[in-house]
Amino acid sequence: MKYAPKFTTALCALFLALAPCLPQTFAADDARPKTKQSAPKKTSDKKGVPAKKSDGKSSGKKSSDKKTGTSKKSDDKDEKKAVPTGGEWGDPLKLQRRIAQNVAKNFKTWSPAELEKFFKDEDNLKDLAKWELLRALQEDEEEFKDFKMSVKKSNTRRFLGEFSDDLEWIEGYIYTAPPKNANFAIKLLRAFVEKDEEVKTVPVIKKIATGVVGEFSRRGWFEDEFETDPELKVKNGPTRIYKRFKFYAESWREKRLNPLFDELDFWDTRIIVGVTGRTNNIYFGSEESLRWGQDNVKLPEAGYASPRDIFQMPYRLWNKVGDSVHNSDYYAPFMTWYGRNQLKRAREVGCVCGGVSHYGASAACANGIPAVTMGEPGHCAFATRQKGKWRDNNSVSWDRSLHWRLWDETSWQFLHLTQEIYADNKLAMKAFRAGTLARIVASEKKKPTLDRVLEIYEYALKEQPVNFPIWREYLEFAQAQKKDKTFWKEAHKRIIDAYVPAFPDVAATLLGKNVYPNLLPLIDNDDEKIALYTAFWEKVNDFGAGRWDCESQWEYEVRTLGDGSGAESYKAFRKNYNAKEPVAPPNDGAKARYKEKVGALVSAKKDYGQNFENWKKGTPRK
Amino acid sequence: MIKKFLIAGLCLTLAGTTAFAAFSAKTFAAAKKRDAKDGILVYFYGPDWDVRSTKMLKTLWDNAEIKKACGDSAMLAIPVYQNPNEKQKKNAKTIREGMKIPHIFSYPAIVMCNNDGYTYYILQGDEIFEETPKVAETIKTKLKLFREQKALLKKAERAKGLEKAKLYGEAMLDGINPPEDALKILKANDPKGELPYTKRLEFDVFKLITEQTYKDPDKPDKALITPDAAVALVTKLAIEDQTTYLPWQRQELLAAAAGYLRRVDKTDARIKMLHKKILEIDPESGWADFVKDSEDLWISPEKKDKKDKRRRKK
Repeated sequence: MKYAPKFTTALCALFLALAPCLPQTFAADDARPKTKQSAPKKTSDKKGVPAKKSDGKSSGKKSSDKKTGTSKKSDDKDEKKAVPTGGEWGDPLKLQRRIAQNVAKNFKTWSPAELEKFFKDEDNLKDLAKWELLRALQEDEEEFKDFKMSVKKSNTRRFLGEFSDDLEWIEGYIYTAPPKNANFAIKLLRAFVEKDEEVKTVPVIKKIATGVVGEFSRRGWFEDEFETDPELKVKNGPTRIYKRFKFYAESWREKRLNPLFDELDFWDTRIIVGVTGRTNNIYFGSEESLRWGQDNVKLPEAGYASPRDIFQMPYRLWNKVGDSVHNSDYYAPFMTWYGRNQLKRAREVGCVCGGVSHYGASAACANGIPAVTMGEPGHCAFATRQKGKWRDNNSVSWDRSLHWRLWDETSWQFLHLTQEIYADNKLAMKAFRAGTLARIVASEKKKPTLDRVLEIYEYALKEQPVNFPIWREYLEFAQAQKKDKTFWKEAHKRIIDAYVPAFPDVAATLLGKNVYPNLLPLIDNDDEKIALYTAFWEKVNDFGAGRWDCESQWEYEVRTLGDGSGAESYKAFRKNYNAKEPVAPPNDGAKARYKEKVGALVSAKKDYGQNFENWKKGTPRK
Repeated sequence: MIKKFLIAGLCLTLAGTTAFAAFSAKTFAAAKKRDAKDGILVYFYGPDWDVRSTKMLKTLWDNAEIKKACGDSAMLAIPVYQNPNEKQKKNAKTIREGMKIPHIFSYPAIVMCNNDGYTYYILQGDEIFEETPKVAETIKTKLKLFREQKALLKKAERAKGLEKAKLYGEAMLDGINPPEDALKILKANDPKGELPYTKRLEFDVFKLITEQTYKDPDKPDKALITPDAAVALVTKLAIEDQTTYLPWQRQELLAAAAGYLRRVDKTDARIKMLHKKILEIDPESGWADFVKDSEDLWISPEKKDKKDKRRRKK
């Protein structure tokens, strides 16, 4: 035994000697990256709009969100607490009335201090979210009847109780996109919870489930789009939607997704898990395709933004046997060969711009990187997000129409704006909550005053001045109240302050669609109108978040002046400048003055000077 | 006693490391310097963004079976970072310095190249996610082809004219990339195209058949060949001549001709004849599926309808 310690030492030495001699890069054990690299939560606009301060919790996520790791062991679960019974959901209308009454009790003077206090109480926030969900449920009368029937069941009420008691969850559904077809979404979400308990407890799984139901319901994908048999279509619908959820949940559990996925919020999780399943009978988003993409098109984030990396297929207008890409025969004889694996089919059979772009975007989404496709004149491009910035790929033109958008607006700047709004999730939620409060107050029979409603919207916009949907709703409400010229002039100024110089297209859209049709009829003097336009162009520096259709904006503005102007021209917001052969604008008095004044302002601006000259001459845009 | 034990341990360690001749290099330059008999195998992985490839660095790349399969090659791992810090950037750059990185479609990937850095195969995607023994088998197979290719090219060094072209052509082995500059060497040494290899290397179904069989709205004056001429052409290229083109190339030619006949007249009996030839070449290939789909869709669609009805009833 006297040799025992020495023997142990020797044994240790032997083990050390036997350990494989690896270079450092070979020796990594826990492969889950330790870095917290992600899309920055608040991006500074490159054109000079300073980034707002973020307190580090700006995404609105709980600290558990930031964790990574396997969910099988549920190390990422929320703390356990008493399960709400959801009894209040038994009578939805009564609940809605009660919430509205409770909300009103919080206010006497509706001062900002009262509002601040109200928004600090989490129970109030939950009430707002419930009310908003109920409002969305009532958008479709038949569906709401169905919802009222469903809450007769205790398990539905229990689910609703749990869902609405989890503020982050319910807000993650209602405030990250318009909650269309809410009854369908709620039914699906409840079904998901029944099949997978971790929907309630694991933040990433929760986001996946909420994203899937949110996108499928919002976009009206109710049925099994891969099934051609009408009966099976209806029958398989939810099953297939569940498959999409299961695919992403399993992918995350198996660590197949880029770690950036762990850092996403509800809104951008939607982009990924809501990737289009089928476009024109082509199945880029089938589970087979996405799975193949995970194994065969796995690239770092920058790879999906790089044409060199992502162009992995032959570009063919005609397939090898001579069928044109413009008819369904192109892929038809290759269906058995590749099944529903469109990514593989595109790589081997070939495709053109649409296929290239859907290939890139679907592969990125399959691997947990947000990407969207977009139309360009005669072309299809796509965009992926890299380090918090959206970058175009396979693009031939700035004139884009986003295939994925939240608020109906399709131009390129709106994608950057959406990023900007949700980059500071905390502020976004503050604005959306105030928006709900305004809606509650507006819905009450005994309104404090109509201006109160506007003041609450203004409070929301003070919290987040770039919040487009709140702006739009605020202006629509003001329109219904037939506000006066002073109001609209003030709104005009505030919109410019909020969006210019970073998002001139967004400002112009709000002005052209919501302000000018109300303000211009109140102005009887062309020079006053010109002053409005020059106020905008004075503040504009460059294209901001991206080239936009400024020619159509000039076209619109000039049509509102002098001869031929009137209510119709005020409402006729800009049409695509190149849609028909452009002609030089007329030169009557007011129009000439407009051209002179705006021309003087934009001539020195690099992005606009030459374009303005071309527009004046009616030169088609390139 | 301890000394003996340690010596035994040391022997064991040495035995463990020298059982396979493949060796790990720290940089591409170092790997190149060793001038390994079986070239260089490079494992690309994403340490800060791809969990699987990082794990596989140990479970696959450091696996004894894989090392054994790598024969006498230099083994190297190159990290591809998503968000590297300066130190990582510098480190990765040092490791890959001098390597011409090929177009990798997916990570992880094993790039197999010769000592000059010319890639003869990239093992990636589905292939790399197979079970380790299967991956090892694939590496072995590719290495074997590489050795064969290398031996043929060595012989070709001393040869001239058609003999050189023949050796180069034989070195175009199915399963790995053709030798670097193969086309240039073939054209220089077989200028009349007496051997089939230049044709195989330049094979393009579009140039041979497809381009003459579809209507291009942008080129209304483009002349198409007649169906009879298409059949005559494909008979010559892919039926009578079974040696110039590889089996899959012949299948493509036949499919292109069949596609044309189908667009002109679905009832043309020669379509079935061409389909039959495709199946005869390889009934298990993807082109066999193409035949099935084409027949179901256009040639005998009524059969497909019946099948669909049966499926729905089930």
